[in-house]
Amino acid sequence: MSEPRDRRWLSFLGLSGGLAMFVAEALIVVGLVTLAWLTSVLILSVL
Amino acid sequence: MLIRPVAEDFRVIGSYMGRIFLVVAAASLLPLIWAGIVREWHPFGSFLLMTAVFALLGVIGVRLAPEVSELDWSHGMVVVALTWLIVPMIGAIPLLLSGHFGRPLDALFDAMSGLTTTGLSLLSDVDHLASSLNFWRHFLQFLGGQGIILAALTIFAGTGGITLYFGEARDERILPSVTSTARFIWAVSVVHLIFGVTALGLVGWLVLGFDFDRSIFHGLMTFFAGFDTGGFSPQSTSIGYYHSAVFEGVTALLMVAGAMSFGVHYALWRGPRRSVFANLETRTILSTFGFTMVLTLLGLAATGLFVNVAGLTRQGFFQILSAHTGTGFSTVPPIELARWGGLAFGGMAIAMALGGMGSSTAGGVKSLRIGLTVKAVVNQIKQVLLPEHALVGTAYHQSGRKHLTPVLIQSVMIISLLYVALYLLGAGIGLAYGIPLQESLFESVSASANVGLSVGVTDPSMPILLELVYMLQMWAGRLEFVAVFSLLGFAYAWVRGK
Repeated sequence: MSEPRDRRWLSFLGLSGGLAMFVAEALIVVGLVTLAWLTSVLILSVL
Repeated sequence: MLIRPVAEDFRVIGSYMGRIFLVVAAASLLPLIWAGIVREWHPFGSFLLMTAVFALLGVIGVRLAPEVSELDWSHGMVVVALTWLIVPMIGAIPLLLSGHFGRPLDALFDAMSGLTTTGLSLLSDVDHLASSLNFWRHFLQFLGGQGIILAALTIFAGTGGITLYFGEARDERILPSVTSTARFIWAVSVVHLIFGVTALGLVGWLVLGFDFDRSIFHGLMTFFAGFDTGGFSPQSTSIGYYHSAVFEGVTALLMVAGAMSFGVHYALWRGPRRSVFANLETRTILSTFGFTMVLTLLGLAATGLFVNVAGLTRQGFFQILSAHTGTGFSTVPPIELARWGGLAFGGMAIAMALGGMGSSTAGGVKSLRIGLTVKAVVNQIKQVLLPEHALVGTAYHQSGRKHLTPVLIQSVMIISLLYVALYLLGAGIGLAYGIPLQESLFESVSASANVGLSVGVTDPSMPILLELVYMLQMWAGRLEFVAVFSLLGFAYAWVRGK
């Protein structure tokens, strides 16, 4: 059941293989930086 | 009764090690060629000597047993443990002859640190080190991160391939055969190499204003040390030298890629991609990263060193990512890191101790073990709280549905406890030399989990015993104990067996 959804994931950009791997890794880094930024905003506004 | 190893055991071990040494000798030709191209004749001579020693040992080993015979589990583990001891010894020759080390042991320390992808260094004046020697230091990290045994398995597998593969602390086989798995790992690495060197080179050339050759050199060195979570840098100030958020961003991507298991790379490359985020290991590492990041940012904010969001986010994020992925790059000098103290120090130390994913180039206890431990503890609590006959679910998702068995829990707990003992060993020795607990523990965890962040304890003037202990920690931590204990058992049987 999950396979068609897997194919859709990132495929909207026409990405596959090694390029899709890079985009996924970049998205993870962007997500982590966003999390760090939000945490910093929260901490500095509280302290 | 212990059975004393016989000549045939040594012949089998020697023949496999010989083949691995021949592969390492071939890899050693790269720094040799580099030194020749850039006309660094003194390092050229030392690389020639090193290559000759690897080749000689390789030929002797192969001549012991020209036909590859069957390698059993214990032989395979002894091969792995000995290879990871002997390769740094020979690999230290060019470093030793460079004149950049005060004691011969310091050169061995750097070679061991390089091969185990730790990144702690006793090298003095790295900023003026010959480029071929810098290439060798970083290439050692690439060789160690990929796995020297894995490199050999790509060329020859034999019947003992699987034993050697698992001996090098890899616990999942992505494709049906070890050789095809090894080749996939190399494919992922080569794709990252092309991307990493191009991206970092472009940043160096276009943003930092380096000339073309220098941009490629810094891109290549940072790729080797970033993707293989090594942490060496051609500059004494590590990534802080570049003063570039874009350079740090590309490096962050390489660190994340390096700390991912090759099973995750496979899923992201060929699918099913969504299963990656259902894995217990992925969820665990995201949770522990979030937890340690909050601790570190809270601690940093409390010190008052960072008063704006941009500064706190940039410094905190990069350092905690470097710690959790086991890379060891930093954008702050060791003296400033030592001033962080308190929660920030604790957050960093916990992140280093936990480490990256299994079957990656990262060190530490590893996320899957942490996830399984938490699951086992939760199940235990449920069993106590629920009615006697209630069934507690043991299923978890990790590349498919799996079950938490008592044998698995036992194995996870033993390895995790051994890591804790290893962390405490170095901290105890540091304390005995009068180093404060906080610094002793931080540096010990950094060595054992193959991270490489330092608060200044690792220094050319450090006590020899502490240096030896750190080397032991790097070696045992990288191999995750099994191969090390097999070697000790083999040596004990040789002495006391009948």
